[in-house]
Amino acid sequence: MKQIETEVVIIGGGATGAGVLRDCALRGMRAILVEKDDIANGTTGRNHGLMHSGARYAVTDQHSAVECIKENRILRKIAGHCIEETDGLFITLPEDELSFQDKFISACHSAGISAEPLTPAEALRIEPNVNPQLLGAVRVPDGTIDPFRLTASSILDAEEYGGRLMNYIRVTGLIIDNGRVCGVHCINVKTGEAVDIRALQVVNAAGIWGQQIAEYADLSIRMFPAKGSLLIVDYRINSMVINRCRKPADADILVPGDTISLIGTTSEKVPYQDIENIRVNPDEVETLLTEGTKLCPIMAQTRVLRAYCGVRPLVSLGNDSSGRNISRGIVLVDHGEADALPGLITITGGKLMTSRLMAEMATDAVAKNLGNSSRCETAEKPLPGARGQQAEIHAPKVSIPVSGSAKYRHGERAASFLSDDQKQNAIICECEMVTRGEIEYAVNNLNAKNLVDLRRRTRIGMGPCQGEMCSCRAAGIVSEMTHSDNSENALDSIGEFLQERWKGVRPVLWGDAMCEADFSYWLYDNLLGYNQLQSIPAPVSEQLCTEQLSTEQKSIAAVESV
Amino acid sequence: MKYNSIIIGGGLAGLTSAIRCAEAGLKTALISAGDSALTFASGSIDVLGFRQNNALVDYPFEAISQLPDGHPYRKLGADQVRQSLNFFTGQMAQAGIEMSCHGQQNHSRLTALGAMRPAWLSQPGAKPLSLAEPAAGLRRVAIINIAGCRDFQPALLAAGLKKHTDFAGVELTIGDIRADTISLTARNVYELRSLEIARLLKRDLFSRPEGLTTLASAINKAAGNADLVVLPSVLAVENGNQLIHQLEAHTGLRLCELATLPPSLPGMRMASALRQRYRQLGGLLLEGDEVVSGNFDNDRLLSITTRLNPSMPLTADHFVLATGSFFSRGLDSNPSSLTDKTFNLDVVTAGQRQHWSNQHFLNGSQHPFCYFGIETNDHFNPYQEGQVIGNLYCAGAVLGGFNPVAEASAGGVAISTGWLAAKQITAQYSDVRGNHVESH
Amino acid sequence: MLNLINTSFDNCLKCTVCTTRCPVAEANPDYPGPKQAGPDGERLRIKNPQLYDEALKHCTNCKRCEVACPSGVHVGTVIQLAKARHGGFKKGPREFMLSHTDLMGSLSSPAAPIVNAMTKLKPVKKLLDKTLGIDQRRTFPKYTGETFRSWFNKQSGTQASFQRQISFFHGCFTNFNDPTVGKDLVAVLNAMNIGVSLLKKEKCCGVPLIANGFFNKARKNAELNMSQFAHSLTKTECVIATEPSCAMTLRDEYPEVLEVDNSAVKDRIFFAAAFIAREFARGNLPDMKPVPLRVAYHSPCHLIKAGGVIYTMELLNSIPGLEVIMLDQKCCGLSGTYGFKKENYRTSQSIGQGIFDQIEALDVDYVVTDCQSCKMQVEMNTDRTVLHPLTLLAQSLT
Repeated sequence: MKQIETEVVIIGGGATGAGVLRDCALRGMRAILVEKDDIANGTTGRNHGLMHSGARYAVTDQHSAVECIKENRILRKIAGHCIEETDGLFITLPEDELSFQDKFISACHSAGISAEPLTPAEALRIEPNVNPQLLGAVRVPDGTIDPFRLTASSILDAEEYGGRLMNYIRVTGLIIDNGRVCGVHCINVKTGEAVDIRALQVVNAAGIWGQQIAEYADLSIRMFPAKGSLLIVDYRINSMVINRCRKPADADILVPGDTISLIGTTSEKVPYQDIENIRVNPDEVETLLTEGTKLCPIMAQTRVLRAYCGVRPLVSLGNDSSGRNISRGIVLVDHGEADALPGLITITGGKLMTSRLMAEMATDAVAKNLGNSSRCETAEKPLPGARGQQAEIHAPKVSIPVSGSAKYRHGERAASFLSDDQKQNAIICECEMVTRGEIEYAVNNLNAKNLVDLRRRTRIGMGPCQGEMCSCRAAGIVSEMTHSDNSENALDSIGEFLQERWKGVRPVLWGDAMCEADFSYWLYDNLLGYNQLQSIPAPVSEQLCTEQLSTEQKSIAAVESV
Repeated sequence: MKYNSIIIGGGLAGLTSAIRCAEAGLKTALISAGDSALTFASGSIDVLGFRQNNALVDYPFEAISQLPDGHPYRKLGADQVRQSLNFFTGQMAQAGIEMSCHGQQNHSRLTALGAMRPAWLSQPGAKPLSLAEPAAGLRRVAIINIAGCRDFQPALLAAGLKKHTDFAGVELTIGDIRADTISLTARNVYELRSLEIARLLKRDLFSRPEGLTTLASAINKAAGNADLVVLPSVLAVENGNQLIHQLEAHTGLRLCELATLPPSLPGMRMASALRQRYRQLGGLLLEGDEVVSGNFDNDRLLSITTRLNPSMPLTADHFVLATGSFFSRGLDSNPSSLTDKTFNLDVVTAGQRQHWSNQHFLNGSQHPFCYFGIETNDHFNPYQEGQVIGNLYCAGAVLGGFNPVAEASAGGVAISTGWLAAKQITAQYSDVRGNHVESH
Repeated sequence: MLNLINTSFDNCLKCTVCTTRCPVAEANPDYPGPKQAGPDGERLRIKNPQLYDEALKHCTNCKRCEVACPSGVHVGTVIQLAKARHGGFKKGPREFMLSHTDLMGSLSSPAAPIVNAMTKLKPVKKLLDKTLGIDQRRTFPKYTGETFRSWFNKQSGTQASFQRQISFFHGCFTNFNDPTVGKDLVAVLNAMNIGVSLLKKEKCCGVPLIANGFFNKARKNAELNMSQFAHSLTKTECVIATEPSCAMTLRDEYPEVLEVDNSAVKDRIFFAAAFIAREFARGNLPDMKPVPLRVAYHSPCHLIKAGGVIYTMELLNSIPGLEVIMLDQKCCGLSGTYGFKKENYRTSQSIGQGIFDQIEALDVDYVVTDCQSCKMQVEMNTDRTVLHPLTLLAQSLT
């Protein structure tokens, strides 16, 4: 068994966990973050990437609104390459009450959020695709935030200050000695190797999975998972965030995110045991399309690339099993104080917008327990990528779409892979203009271990073709970089990657998405014969299904294999 | 304007049909809304490679009788399928490509990821391997990339080959013939597609008298004494097979070219040969236009209207619909249903959207959507709201009731159904006018 | 910015077909090709206009990518519109001169003998090359002493005597450079008992203006032409054009590229061969005598794009005794004004080489094509004379 010792171990590689790792590292504490999958794989990476101004909460929850605008201002300062200051519109449609606008504006103002009323004509001028039937609009300082980049940059910064990420390491138990949590038992999910990490403080930042971590110590933190589903469309149909000016409801936020737009979110309570298997349902897709089209009518003609869903970690503390004391705010528990179990701190609840603040709160508690008196600097120090001058990056042989996309994603760090080297500059993902250099950088510097991870670091495979053209190329590069003994893994990772993409495509399989999927299937199974390379046999029910189909019992095809 | 036959769709099925009509002397027009799936095809022809239970098929024509009733091959019967493929082989030969096969038996087509796909006809450059023992006679295989083509991954190909037990004892080596070794210069040689490499080779290497020997010696150097040298198909579209032959003479090695990710040169080569053959026969090719509607009179399609010239309908005695599947846009779908995009004919489909596909994308999934397509009678006449359309025939991937990918039957079904459509059309002319149709 | 008039890029399946058919990408390795310049780039340009790639300047708007695309993406149009939106056109005096064909025509035509003699002179060509960047290796089109309009005016009385009337959009080349095709058209239509009338006023269709980025000027021309069409169509059956690029522009590019609404008249704008072929099909055939020639037919890019090849072939096939060999459907490389620019000369010649070689290898009496720009390029690069299909048709009239 492998044994590692450190001061702080953080469980969970979401935005919060990454933030804690960074904060600990900046304050000079030795820290390791363990994540059972890849960073930003949980709730962090499954929301709409809206950089709230707080306006959305202004009427219903002033406290959250104030928290949001404060963090909004900090993120603009420290995470420039992860955010876009697009501003947002809160529009009133004929079916909404225009009178809500005044209430909304004054609530924004009292939270310190600027809210400027616009006439419908003004709104249409700055956002031509917004529903022309709008009765009014309010402009607020909403923006967009890329959760993958935010998390990866936090990790990168932490690593540069001595912190360490261990991804694909699952916590299997807490090491408890003499009534004190002294570390975590883990297993490497790729190799099966057991690892014990001993630490003075353990931070449970596992989000919705934090309930399981707490259970390892017989503590009760009850999560009430709420599923939220979203759709991604092919290109930016809107350039500003568009909200409905009414009380928050399903599918009323349209966010431009990098090259795409996304509409979200629905909300549906799901049993805790189902959190690993949540899916987007057809009726959610329909709701999202219908409501999205109300915000921007062009959405009805726009190709939907994929659907995805995440789980909001709503928390209830203590022995409340009813969920009546659910908190939507930040929950910080030092189990030494609350449950007489020192060494364990849980940070949960909250939202992506407040992840830095949550990290600060958790790290404050850690620091107090360890007697570390260093000040938190995460609100002032820009993240890597949000520092130097992008304009100074010299790459005259790279075309603007390529260099521009690289700088957009990595800020001044793009300098480490944009060069005059032809091989490094070769475009691998043509939809999102990802070069070989960027892929190598992500593997070498950003802990990307496979194609799915690469996607979160670079946007590879996130465009219209959903990995069809780039996955073989990228797998070849990964195989080359990690030496030839790894080629088989690289070959397998193509299938894993396409399967991960398929999960999102399948709920929206019609129109162009259907054509694209048919094309991908033809390429991989026919031209390349990928199916022949997989050891997993076809499920029996599928064979049955097709046999019966071809004997003209066509409706049997409707029986889906499990 | 009036034609004897109008073929809608310029892929394998449409071209086969059109060639046969034109060869019989019919005034034929082929309307093609963009280039076909041949651009992404292997350049080999599969007839039937897998049974319904995913087991390999050794003798495709013998296996036809075991297919379920509704399958297009069952409507044709093994004899007609064989005749159609003989016709196709003859036409390809006329266009300068001698397709090869292992008698009546399938062979293995090596893919760019090292998989084996069963096929029945292959181009000479593809070096078909034995179905049962693909590694027979091979001790050393060299996998060589050319100019670092980003759509060909030698290491992955080697990893794929290693998954075959038959290749366990075969030594695999990997090499790359660098762009500067063969003097290729481009904006960025590392981001060229297969076709772009072919163009550069033509311009920078083969234009020089010593070009071929330069490449040959680079291959020799990279491959050593391998029994088989695997290369990406980047050499040429039209004369690719001849080039491989010449390189084999120069190197003394056995070379095998593999179709890369799109575009696929062997596939384009096939399309180009068939189009050329069709034009030679006097057929008219109308590219970049699309049929938007048909003028039907009960059981007959009288004329069609195209997008570009809506006020000038085209009239014909017979029509063939060979518009392909979803990605060729012969079939269209919306959130709740799917349709034949051209004429709204009756289609084979299955329930609601969530039942169109399986949750696993690649591992043995036989996605129901692969079976979707137009429903026909035994003559491949489609139905419109239950009414059979007697002078309209459907061919190729637009047909329902078979799975071109999982069965490895795309090529054979396209050729045989396209061929049968034309056979039935030309037969009607001899009925009316005596022994033969008049040539034009 | 997001107010896009063409969102067909959304349907792109990334299949790469367009890249296989682009003549510029084939000849010029600096051009990343229609996929990257068109649908791939468009998503990025929408995200941020600064992600515009100046390599788009290489596109000639030949539209072969659109013909090849199986998904109906208007690749060429997407690129032209992006160039217009992002200042992607270089609009110097050379571009002005090359694109304002009607202005140059009306200035040069009255002094045709002098202009023609001048543009043949080596020192003049050198000067144009050095000062303007118009390649001196090019043969310049000659101007005609008598414009088509002035020829037509002399016998407009004869035309008025026919009961059926059509309007003829003659285009700049027929008017100022070579009226032959116009005269042949009049002869053919008259033989079919159809009279020809001209628009009261006609401006360049806009094809060279669009190709050089003078969108406002093109739009103005389009608006004038459309008002002329509306007027003229009250008295005539339809408007026809012999020049494929004119026909395509009037019918398809006005709404798609210039946002000029032509829906009221669109169905009555025809490529000349299409109109005649339809008449033939309806039985209105002139008496024809055999023309015992063997010719090679070259199909112009914009005719393929507009779906007109089928009609030209129908006309050629209807001429008794004429043997027609269809050349490979490849671009000749001139693309109107493109090949005249010095920096494009090599690419232009390289694009056309395949066609030139094929023509030289064939044993034919003439090359036939519908497009005057293709004619110029083929005549400059082969030793064959190029005829218009209508000229052959006129020859076959008894």
